[in-house]
Amino acid sequence: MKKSEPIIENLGNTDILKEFVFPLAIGFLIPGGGHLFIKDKKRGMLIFILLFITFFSAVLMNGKIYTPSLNDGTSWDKMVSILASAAEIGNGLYYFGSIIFVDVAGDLPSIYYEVGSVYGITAGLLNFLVLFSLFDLIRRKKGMLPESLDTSDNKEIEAAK
Amino acid sequence: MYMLSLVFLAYVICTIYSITIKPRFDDALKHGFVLFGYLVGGVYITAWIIYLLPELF
Repeated sequence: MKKSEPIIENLGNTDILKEFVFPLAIGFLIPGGGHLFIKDKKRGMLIFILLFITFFSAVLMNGKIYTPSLNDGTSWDKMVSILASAAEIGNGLYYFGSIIFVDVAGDLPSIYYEVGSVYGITAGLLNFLVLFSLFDLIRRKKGMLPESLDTSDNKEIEAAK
Repeated sequence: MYMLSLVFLAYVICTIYSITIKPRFDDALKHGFVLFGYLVGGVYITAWIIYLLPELF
C-alpha cells in the first residue's frame, strides 16, 4: 500500500495556529477576511465585496435563510433544510447574525423569494471554495504545498512572483 | 430585475471560481469575465434557439 503524503510539507517550527488556523477562521467568519489577513488585499477586497453584496441581497430580497428543522415537514423537507443550512453556514457571522436579527422564514409571496434563497446558499458555498483556495495560497506562499498536490501551472506561479 | 439578479449571481460565481484557480489576480479577473461571457452568451443563444425552433417547423 502506498504511504500517504502529508498535506503540509516542510512544516518545521511553523506556528500552525498563527499561520493556518487564524486566517482560515477569520476567512470563515467574514468572507474575504482571511485573504486580507494574509495581506492579499486585492483578492480579499473583491471576495469581501462580492460575497457581502450576494448575502445581503438575499436578505433584502426576503429569501429564506435556512435553519435545520427536524420537527416539521416531510423527511424530504428535513433533508433539504439540513443540507441548505450546512451550505449557508459558510457565510459565517453574516449567517449567525441574520438568524438573530432577520425573519428567517422569508417572504413567500415575493417574486424574489426563490432567487433570494439561492443567493444565500450560493454565497455560503462560494465561501467554502474561497477557504480551500486560501489554504492552498498559504501553503504555496510558505513553500509547504507538496508538488503532487499542486495542480496549477508552475510557470504561472513563477511569473506571479 | 429578476433576470439581472440571476446574471449578477452568474458573475459572482465566475469571478470567485477564477480567483480560486488562477495564481495571478489580473489573469483571474480576465478569466472570470471570459467565463461569464461564455455562460451568459451560451444561455442567451440557447434561449433564442428554443424560442425560434418552433417557428421553423
